[in-house]
Order: sequence, then C-alpha cells, then structure tokens
Amino acid sequence: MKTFFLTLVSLTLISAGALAESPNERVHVLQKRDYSVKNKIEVGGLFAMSVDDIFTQHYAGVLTLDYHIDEAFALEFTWLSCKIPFYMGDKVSDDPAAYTGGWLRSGHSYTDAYYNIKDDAQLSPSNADLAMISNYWGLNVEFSPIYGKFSLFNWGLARADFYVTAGGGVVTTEYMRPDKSWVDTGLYFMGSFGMGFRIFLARWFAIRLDMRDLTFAAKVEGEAGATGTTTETKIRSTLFVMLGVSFLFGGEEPVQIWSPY
Amino acid sequence: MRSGRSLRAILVAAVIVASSAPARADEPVVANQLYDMGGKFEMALSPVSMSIVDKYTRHFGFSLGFDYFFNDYLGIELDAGYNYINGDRKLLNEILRTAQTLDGIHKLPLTDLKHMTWFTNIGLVFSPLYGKLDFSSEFAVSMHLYFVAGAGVAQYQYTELEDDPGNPEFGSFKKVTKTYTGGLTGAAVQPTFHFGGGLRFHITQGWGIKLEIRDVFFYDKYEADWKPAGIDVQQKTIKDFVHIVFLRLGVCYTF
Repeated sequence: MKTFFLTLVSLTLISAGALAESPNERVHVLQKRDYSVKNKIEVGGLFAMSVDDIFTQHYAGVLTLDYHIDEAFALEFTWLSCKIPFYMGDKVSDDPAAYTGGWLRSGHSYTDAYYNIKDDAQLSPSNADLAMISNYWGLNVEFSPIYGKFSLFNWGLARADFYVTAGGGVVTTEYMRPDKSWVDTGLYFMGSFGMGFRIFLARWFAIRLDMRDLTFAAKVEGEAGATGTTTETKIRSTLFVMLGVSFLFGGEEPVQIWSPY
Repeated sequence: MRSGRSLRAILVAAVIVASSAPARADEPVVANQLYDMGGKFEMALSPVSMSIVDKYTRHFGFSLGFDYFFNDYLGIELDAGYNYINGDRKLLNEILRTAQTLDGIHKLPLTDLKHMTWFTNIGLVFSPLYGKLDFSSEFAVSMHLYFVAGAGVAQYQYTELEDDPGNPEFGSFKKVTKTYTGGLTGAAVQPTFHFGGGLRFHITQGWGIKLEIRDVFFYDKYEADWKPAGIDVQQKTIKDFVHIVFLRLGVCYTF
C-alpha cells in the first residue's frame, strides 16, 4: 500500500512537471521575470542628437524622471536641453530681437547641407527650416507592453523592457539669421512621441536607448515686404536618438512565475 | 527497509522533477530556442519600403528577398526592389520656388539629389542575437536580430531645370527628370553598396514578420552648374556618396 502511495506521489510529481511545460501555458509567458519596475522611481541621464533634420543639428543633454505605476505604465518628466535655458547671450545693438551666439549654444549647429545649399547653390531655406530647439520640458505617458530576453551568440542573457511614449510640453526655439545673430522665437507647446528600451544590468541600473520625435510649430520672421516683416509658421518635426543610463529606486522584488518560455 | 524504499522513491521523483527544470550550464542561455535558421531558405516580401531621413528625395516601393542560412548566425541573401514613387521632396520644391538666383542654372550644385528607381543586390546576413519577447504577459514571440551588408546595382534619376517662362509652379523654369549616368561607371546602372539591420519576428515555424532599416549608397560624380560670383555660370564637379535609408516592413517564409 505504501509502495503504491509513493508511486502515486512520484507519478503526480512527474505529471506536474510535464503539465507545467505545456507550450499552452499563458500566465507570464516568459519565465523568471527578474526585473520588476512596479512602483519604482527611475532617474535617467541621456545624451541626445537629432538625426533627421536636413539643415539643423542638435546635441542635447536629457534628464528623465519616471514613476512606474505598474509593470506596463509610467509617467515621465523630460527635460531636453541644447542650451542654457533663458540665457540668450549679448544683445545686438539696435536690434531688440537679436543676440550674438557663443559657447552657450554649443548644442546648436547647422549641417553641411545648409552650407552646401547656401554657399554652393546660393539658395535659401526658409527661416522656419532653420529654427532649433533650445529647451523642452514635457510630461509623457510611457507604455511598456514588451519584456524580452536575448542571447548574443548564446554567450549570455540580457533582459530588456520595450516601451512607447507620448506626451507634450513647452519648448523654446531659436534660429540664426544670415548675419549670424540669434533670434528667440518664444515659448510654445510641443508634442512628443517615441519608443525605446531599457536593458537591465542590475535591478537598480539600466542602459536606455530612446527615439523621440518632437513636433513643434516654428514661428519665425518671414520675407520683408512693403508693409514690414511677415511672420512665417511651419510645422517642424525633429527626431532625436538618445542613449544613456538610468537608476531605479524603491519598488518591489520581482515575482518569479514559471513558464515554458 | 521501508523507510529506505521511501527515500529512494522520493529521490527518484526529485531527480525526475529536477531533470525537467530548464536551467543547466551546458544548455542555451535562452531556454527552448524554438526557431533556428541553420540550413534553411527564406523568402521575404516587403510591400512597405520607404526612404527615411531623406534630404531632398523620397521613395515608396516594394522589395523581394531570397536568403539561405548556413547556420543560425550566417546567411546569404539576394534582394531586389522597385520604387514606384521616387522623386523630389516638397522641401526642395519650396526652396526652388522662392529662389532668385537660378538664371542659367540647369544642374543644381547640390548633393543627394539622386533618387533610386530599381535595385538588386547580394549580401551577407549576420544574425548574432536571438530573443524572446513577452507581450503584456499574454503571448511570447521569438525573434532574431540581424545585420546585412553587401553590394549590387541600381538605377537612379534626378531632375534638371529647363527654361520655361510662365511656368505656373516655378515661374521661369520647369523640372525635367533625367536618368543619372555619372558616378563610377558613367552608365545608367550604378554599382551600389548597402548595410543595415533588422528584426525577424517568428509567428509560426514557417511564417514571420520582418522590420528592417537598410542604407543603400553609391558614389555620385557629376558636372553641375554654379555661379560663384553670382553672375557667370560655371561648371563644378560634385562628388559625394549618396545615401538612401530605407525602412521596410514585410513578411517572410522559412523552409
């Protein structure tokens, strides 16, 4: 009888193992989610550069502050800065709108295409195409539906969170006139959306790679006409690639649930 | 004796359960690699192929690919495509429309004006990374990340300006599309090179979805018109590598 009981226990254990390996298991489809972000606060520092502008080139520092409401949703505050905020440099005499540039605009530059079209072809892009983002302060919602594991040549395992973000905020933009003086175009609303992933190196530390598209209405001086200078507005969209690190604080220990994947 | 038998039975059960656990040092680090490309062929159709981060041109088209994988990491591909929309961006037209300095200019002294009509190439596929993604804890998708590099041929076009007083769009000239014949060969077909990378999401053992970014470039050399002093038109040789970056989305079948 006891032998029969032990055999039954053994069979139960074996069958439990077999059932647990069923490919139809749908609760936590990846086993051992080692990195949880729920209720964590994440502070990130990233370097950003614009990649799709034809005539302008931005280099920026980015500070992010995320609160992860759960594993999938987070609220993020973003500060992207190409220049010291609210400081314009020295004012150009007799022109209240214009300032001279300098080291404070080291995150702003024009591409070779700008000099090519201006100097070689003697053509002029509109001022709206030359406007550059100085500072952006925004609030985003981050949705992170994908968690993944990767092996590189089967050497080691990396874990990553993929996310999409959408939000908006305020931006200051400036542009440079042909006489190399800078004009502040003011503070106005800007929309943002993007995607990215964080690769967890520890439960408190991750590498982040982001792509953010920032869309704004560049409102600049147009052609000088008989009745004075006109105002020109153009919807501009600038794509930034960002790379940096983030630190995670607080939160919960991850719950490890077995799955066949 | 009975207790010894019980101990043995429990040990046997424990060994069997333990043997079903996936984590062993000599096993793949991602347990249960469900999709291996080694020794397989793949056909891919990308009905969505568009250029991104363009300067003055734009492209929409499709492409077809045929790959063979020597093992899970390395393969070879044949790839061809056609851009049914290719031409200048609105931005260039805006600049030309407002220009005051184009008298006597027929070939613009700008780089990156060439747009691609068709291409075919051969290359290597290098696939170092295999992974599994968990979508909202509901379903798992296996994927390969891969890189491609190679060479091929393509045909390019560009626009020249011809005098046309009273043209409704540009005023004194019109744009005419020409087949490009400069570059390394001086022929209508140019040698090209490419590199890129993408993700292959395995949906079933046969079918998958591919998302890819690919930079196709060629050596551009042509005689352009320019006015260094603002009055007399002179010839200037423009030399540059013209890059067109394509974003592709498509389906693939492995067999």
